[in-house]
Amino acid sequence: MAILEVKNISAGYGDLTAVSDLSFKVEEGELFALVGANGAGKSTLLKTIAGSIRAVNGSITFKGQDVTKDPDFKRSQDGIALVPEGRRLFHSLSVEENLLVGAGTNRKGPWNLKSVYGLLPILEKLKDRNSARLSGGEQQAVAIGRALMSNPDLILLDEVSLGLAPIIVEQIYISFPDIRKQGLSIILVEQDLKRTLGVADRIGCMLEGHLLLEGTPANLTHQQITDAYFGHSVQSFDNAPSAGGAQ
Amino acid sequence: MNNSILEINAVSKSYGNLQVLSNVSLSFNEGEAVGIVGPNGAGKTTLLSIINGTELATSGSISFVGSDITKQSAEERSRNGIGRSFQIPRPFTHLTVFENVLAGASFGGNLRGVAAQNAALEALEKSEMLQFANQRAGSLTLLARKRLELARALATQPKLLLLDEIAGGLTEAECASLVQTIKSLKSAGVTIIWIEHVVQALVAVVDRLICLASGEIIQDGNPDAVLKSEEVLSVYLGAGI
Repeated sequence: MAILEVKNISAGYGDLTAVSDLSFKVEEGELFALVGANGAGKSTLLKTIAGSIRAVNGSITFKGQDVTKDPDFKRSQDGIALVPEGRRLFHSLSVEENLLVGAGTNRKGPWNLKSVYGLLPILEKLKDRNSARLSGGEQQAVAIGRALMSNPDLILLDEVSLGLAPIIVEQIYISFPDIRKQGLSIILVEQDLKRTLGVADRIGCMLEGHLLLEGTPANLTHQQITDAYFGHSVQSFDNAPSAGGAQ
Repeated sequence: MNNSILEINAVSKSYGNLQVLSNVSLSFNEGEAVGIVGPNGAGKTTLLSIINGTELATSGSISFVGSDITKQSAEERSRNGIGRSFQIPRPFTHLTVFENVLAGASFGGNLRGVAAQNAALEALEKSEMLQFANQRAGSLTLLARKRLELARALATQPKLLLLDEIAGGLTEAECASLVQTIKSLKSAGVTIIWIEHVVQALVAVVDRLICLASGEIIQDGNPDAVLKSEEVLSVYLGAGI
């Protein structure tokens, strides 16, 4: 059963249409990855699903209910959590307090301080630190933890690995199967195609506000995606050693 | 060309009782491109802040082209040739791209009138942002915001350019094109210190790689050797990479 159904959604800012007549479904427990160049509309689409911006047209159905007109806090209580690009923590609060804000939805589920610290051990070490005193990557880890604390049914991860050290990105990717065992559905925006193809059940390619292609990693290759949807072959990085390959 | 451009001598930095950098000493040569990697919270961004003066060192000293700059403000250092891009770009969203870069040239580079305008145009050209010159900065995509951040730093006409995670969040194609831009700056003789988790992008440009962990330098040398060292694999890259 589809947990999320987006039908003919358009959204944007003023005269700018960032997402245009776009439709797709996410099945329960599925990991759906969105790829596409910067400016393709991926972040706008996630914000529209989370309710932080309103759709101009179209409808969003979540767990069988039309949530198109619901404000973001209502959708959060219903089980949609967004990890926004740019982190946006409460800087007057400690790391642990930021995480507890996430738990404010009072939803039941596997995520609490203990399980979040298990997933992201870096947070336990920092729990009493004021969040204004965190490095960029540490803030990103808090933003992910805070979203999980709401025990969502659907988590929207925008640039999940932005600013994180490779070893932590690895930890997060390794934990995806466990996170999903709890039935959580995920929409992932990530620039590392190799990683994306490794974890996604399905992939959607966006270009200029449209969803141009949907498929599974089995029937789409890295080359197909880059050639067809970025309009040209990707240049390789010169003299990159095999040990590199972080994100 | 082994002329030292920047000397960091026994620099430590604390925020209250939180020690972020411990007794860091580094020397950078003119024209060198150096990458900095390390776990989250290692002190990488703080090190850049100490170099460009947005933070002052708690102890230790810094000299730039032979002069002690330890107590100089960020404005003075910028006018003396230290330019910086920030991890989270915060342009003046209601100004155009050109106006943002002009502000960099005027206030950061201490240029006036036509000289400032020319520096701004040149910076826009080098960072491939000329086509967006009249667009409001608030309407830019992530790639364009990162390039604007680079243009603002370049408009100050830096001898030393500090880059903080400029490649994060870009697609491979966008990242490859940014790498070309940074390479051409290096060829033009700008000294570059670049923090980046996108290690592939970094090693395409840098001649030297430093790994910081818990405020200390744990590796410094040839990028290949640094990335293969046990210490860096265990604290930063992880086994699966």
